[in-house]
Amino acid sequence: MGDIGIILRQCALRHWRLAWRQQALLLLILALGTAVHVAMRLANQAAMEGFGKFTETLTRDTDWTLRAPAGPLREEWLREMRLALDPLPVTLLPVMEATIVPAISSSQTTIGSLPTWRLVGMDLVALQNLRSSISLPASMEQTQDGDVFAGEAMAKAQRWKPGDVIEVVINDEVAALRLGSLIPTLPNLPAPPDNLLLMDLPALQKRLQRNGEVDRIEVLAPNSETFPTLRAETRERMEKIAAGRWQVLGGEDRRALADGMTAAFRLNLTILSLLALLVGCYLMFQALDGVVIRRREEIAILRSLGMTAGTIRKAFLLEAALLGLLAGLAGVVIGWLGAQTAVKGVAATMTALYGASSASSAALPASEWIIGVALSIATSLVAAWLPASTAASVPPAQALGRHAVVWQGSSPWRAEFIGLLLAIAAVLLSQLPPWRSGAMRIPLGAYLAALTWLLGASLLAGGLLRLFRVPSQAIATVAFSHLRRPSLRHRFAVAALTSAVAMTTGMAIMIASFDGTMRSWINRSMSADIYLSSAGAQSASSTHQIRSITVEAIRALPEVSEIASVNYAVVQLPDGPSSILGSDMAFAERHDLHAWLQKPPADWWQSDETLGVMNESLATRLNRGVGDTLEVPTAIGVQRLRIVGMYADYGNERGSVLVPAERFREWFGHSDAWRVALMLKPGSDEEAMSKKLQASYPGLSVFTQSHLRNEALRIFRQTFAVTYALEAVGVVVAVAGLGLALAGLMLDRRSDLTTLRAMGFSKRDLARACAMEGFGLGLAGVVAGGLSGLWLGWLLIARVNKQAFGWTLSFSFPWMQVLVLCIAVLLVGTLVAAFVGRWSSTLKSEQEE
Amino acid sequence: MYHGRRFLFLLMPLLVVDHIMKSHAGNPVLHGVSLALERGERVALLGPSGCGKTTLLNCIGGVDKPDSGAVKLAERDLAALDADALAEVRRRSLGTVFQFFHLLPTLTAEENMELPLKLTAVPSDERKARVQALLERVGLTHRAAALPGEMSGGEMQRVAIARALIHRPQLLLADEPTGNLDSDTGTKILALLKELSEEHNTALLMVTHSEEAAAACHRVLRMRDGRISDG
Repeated sequence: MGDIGIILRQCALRHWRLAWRQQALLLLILALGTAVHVAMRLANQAAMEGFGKFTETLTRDTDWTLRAPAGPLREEWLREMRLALDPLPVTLLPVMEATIVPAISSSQTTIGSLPTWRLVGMDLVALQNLRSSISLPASMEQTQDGDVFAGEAMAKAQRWKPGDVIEVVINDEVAALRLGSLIPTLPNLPAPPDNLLLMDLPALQKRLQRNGEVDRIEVLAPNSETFPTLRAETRERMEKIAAGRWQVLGGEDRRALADGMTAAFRLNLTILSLLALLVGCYLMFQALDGVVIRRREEIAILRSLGMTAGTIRKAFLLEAALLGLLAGLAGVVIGWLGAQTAVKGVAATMTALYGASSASSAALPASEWIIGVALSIATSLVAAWLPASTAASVPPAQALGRHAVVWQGSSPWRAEFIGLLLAIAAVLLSQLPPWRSGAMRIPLGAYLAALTWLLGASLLAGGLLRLFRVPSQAIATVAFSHLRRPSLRHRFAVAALTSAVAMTTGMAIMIASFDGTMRSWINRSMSADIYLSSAGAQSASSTHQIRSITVEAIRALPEVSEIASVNYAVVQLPDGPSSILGSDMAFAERHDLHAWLQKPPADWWQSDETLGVMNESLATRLNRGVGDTLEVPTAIGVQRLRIVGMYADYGNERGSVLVPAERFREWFGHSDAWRVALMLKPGSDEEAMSKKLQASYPGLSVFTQSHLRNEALRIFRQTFAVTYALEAVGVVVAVAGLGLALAGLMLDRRSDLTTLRAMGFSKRDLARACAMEGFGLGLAGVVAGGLSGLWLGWLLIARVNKQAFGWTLSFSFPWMQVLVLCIAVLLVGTLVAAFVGRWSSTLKSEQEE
Repeated sequence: MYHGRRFLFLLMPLLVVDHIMKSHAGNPVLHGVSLALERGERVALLGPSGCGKTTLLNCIGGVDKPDSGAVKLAERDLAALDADALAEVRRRSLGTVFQFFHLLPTLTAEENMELPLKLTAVPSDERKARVQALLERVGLTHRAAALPGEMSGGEMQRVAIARALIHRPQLLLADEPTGNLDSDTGTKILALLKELSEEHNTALLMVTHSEEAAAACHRVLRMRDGRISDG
C-alpha cells in the first residue's frame, strides 16, 4: 500500500490538480452515466409506489383483498362473508372505484392529454369505525351526501378549497362534484396521492348506477398477538365459501400483480439505465487509455525506480476507484435532481399503459446512495482494467528511450473468429422461446441474441479494416496503413460505431415496420365515419363506458345509417388480467374490420355453440391457437369457449377474446359500450355530425375517421420519441469515442508524427491523414453497423416483438433514413477526426538528445 | 553572362548557418552557431549530450525555428518560408536518419521507402523502380515486405537510410545513425551512408558521439555548450 500511496499522492493526484479541466470532464462523463441510471431507478420506484398506494393512505396496507375474477362483487355477499368470519375480529371494507377526468369544453381532444384520477367509494361509516387506527377528520362527517374528499396535495395542485364544485367526466356524462373537505396527511401514514378523490360508497353506487355492486372488499385484521393465526384463518374461511365468486389476494399477491403488470416496462427502464452506464464506461475507457499514454514516461520512470508492474496496475485501479467514488457521489445528486423531472414522465407512461400512478417527486434513500456509488466505482474499475494493465506492461527502457514502437496490433483473424462464433451463437439464441412468468413473457433469448450479435458484429467489424489497401497518395498511405493493421484502439472505436449504427438501424427498421403495419391496420380497422368513446377514456386503465341508453339515443339520429358498439370487461385469467370484448360481428364482417391471421368460418357468430376469436397477443401469451378451448371467468361463472379465429390487433399487449355482443350481454349483464362506431347515411357531413354529437354529449369524445387515425399514429410515434433521443445519444457517444480513440492514437504516435514532419508532411497533411483514418474507421463502422442492423431489425420484429407482445409486423427497411444516418456518421466522424488531426499536428516533436 | 549566373549557385555552399541563437524555456541552447556545408561534403558534428546538436539539426531541418540568425539551404533563407514551404523543402531537399530508425510501424520496408516519392508525386512505375534499385543497393530485396517489427536494428537503419535518400535530397541529416546499433552493424551502416551519399552527391551532416563515425566524414565540427568550438 505504501508504494501505491506514493504513486497516488505524488503522481496521480498531482496530475488531477495540474490538469483539473480534463479531470473534471472525465468525472462529469462518469457522473452523468451514473446520474441517468440513478434518475431512472428513482423515478421508476416513485412511480411504482404511487401505482400501488391508491388506498393505503386511508386503510393502511390491508391484510386481504377480495376481488371477483370477472365483473363486480355483489353487495349481498357481504352478509355471507360476515357470517362466515364470525366471531373473528376483522373488518370488511367494501370499495368501489372508477376513473374520472376533469371536464373540458373543447372537442376533438388529444388522447392522453387529460389527467386520469381515481374516484374511490368507501363506506365512510365503516371508515369512522376504524378511526382508532386511521383517524379521519371530524369534518368529513359533517359534509353533504355525495361530496368528495381530496388530499391536501391534490387540492393544492388543483387550487381547490372545501365547498368548490369540480366538473368531471364519469362514464359518458359530465358531473359536478362538491369538494366536502380535505383528507389530512397523518403521521406514520403516506400522504394521500394527488390523483385520488374519496366519496361515500352509497353515493358513488348511485352516481354510477351500480347499486348493489362493489369492485372489491378490503379485509383488515387488528394488530395483536394472535394476528398470524387470525390472518390465516380469515383467508381459509373466505376461500372456503368463495365458490369461484371471488379471489382472496394478500399484500404479496397484490404487489406481484402490480409487479407483473409493469415488469416489461421496468425491464425496459433498467436496460436503458444500464446502457447509460455502459456508455459512461466506454467513454471513460477511452479517456483513461489516453491518460496512460500521456503518463507512459512517468510510469517508465517509476518502474525504473523499482515499482513493480503489479503496483502500477493497483495504483491505476485505485485512482479509477477514487474517480468512481467522486463521480458516483456527484452522479447520485445529479440523478436525484433529474429524477424529480423524470418521475412525472415515468408516472404518466405508467398511467397510460397500466393504471393511474400519482408520483410527483422521487425520494433518495440511503440504499440508492450505496447502489449509485458502488455502480460508479464498478464501472470505472471495469473501464480502467485494460488501461491499467497497459500501464503495468509499459517497458521502461522503450518508454524512456522513446524509440519507434513496433506495430502492436491484435493477432490476425483471432478477433474475427470469435466474432463469427458469437454471431452464430446469436442466431441460435434467437431461436429460443420466451421466458414466461405468469402473464409476462420476456424474450430473454432474443435479448441475449441481440447482445451477442452486437458483440460479434463489433469484433467482425475490425476485420473490415484489413480490407483497406495502401493507395498511391502519400497522405492516404499513412492513414490507411494504420487501418490495414488495426490496433486495439482502432477496434474499440469501430466496435462502438458498429454498435451505435447497428442499434440505430435496427430500431429504425423496427419503427418503420411498426409504422407500416400500424398504418395498414388502422386503414383497415378504422373505416367507420365517426368513433365515440367516453371523454374520460384517457388511458388503458380507464373504466369509463358509454351507457347503452346513450348508444340507443344516437342510433335514433337521422344521419346515422349503422351503429356498432364494442363492449369491454376485464377478467382475471390464471396468469393475469385480460379483456373480453363483445362486438356486432355482422357489422365487422360487412365492413371487413378485422385483419385476420386465421379467418373463422362464415357466420360463426350465429352458431349455438359458445365460440370466440382471439387476438394474436393472447394467443402468444396463452400459447393457444384456433381449435383450442378457453375457460374465461364471467359475471355468471366460468364459461368455456372454442377459438375459431385469430386476428391481428396492435391496440394492447395483454390480449383479448372477442365474442358476439349478445354473448357478452349474457355473460356480464350489461351492454354499455367501450367504443362506438358510426356509419353515416350518404350525403351526411362527418365534421358537422361530429360537432353536433359533441354539443349534445359533452361527456363523449367524438372522433372523425381521419382524426382518430391521426391520433392513433401520434400516440404510436410518441411511444418511440424516447427511442430517437437514445439513438442520437448512442451515435454522439460513438463519434465522441472515435475522437477520443484517435486522440489516444495520435499521442501514442508522437514519434511517427515527428518522422512524418521530418519527411515533409505539413500540418495540413497530418490533419488530413488523421481525417482519412477517421473516415476509414467511420466507413467500417457504418458498413458493419448497417449490415448487422438489418439482422437486428429482423430480430426485434420477428422475435422480441412477437414474443413480448405477440404482434406480427411486416418488414420495412427505411433506406433513406439509414442512408442519412450513415452519411451523417461518416461526415461527423471525419470532422471530429480532422479536428483531432489538427490538434495532433501541433504536438511538440519528440527529441532524442 | 546571364546563363553563367544561373549556375553561380553551384559555387555557393549548399548550407549556410549564420549565427543562430535558440533558447528553450528561457535557457539558451544555441549561442550564435555558424557553419557551412558544400555539396557532397560529409561533416560530422561531435559533442557531449545536451550541447545543442539535435536543436541545431532541427533548425537546419526546418522543424524548429531559431530565435535569431539565418539558415540558408541552397540559397533559400528558411526563416522567410511559411510552414507549408518548409514542409516542401523537407520533402524535396532534405533527408533525415534517426538514432531509433523511426520507420512507420504499419508500413513494410518498401512502403516506408516509397512514401517520400509519393509525397513528391513521382509516377508509380518510377517509384517501384527506384525502390527496387535501392533495396538491392542496401541488400534488403528479400525483406521488402517485412514490417519494422520483423526486422533487426541494422536492417531497420538500412531501410531508414534508403528512405532518406530515395528522393535524392541535397542534404542528409543523420542524428546518431549508429547510436543504437552494435559496432559491426554500425560500421556497415557508416560505410553504406558514405557510399550512398557519394553516389547521390548528397551532403551529409551527421550528429554523432562516435570518433569512428567522424572518421568517415570529410570534416569534423565539435560542439560544446551551444557553440561550435572548432572546425
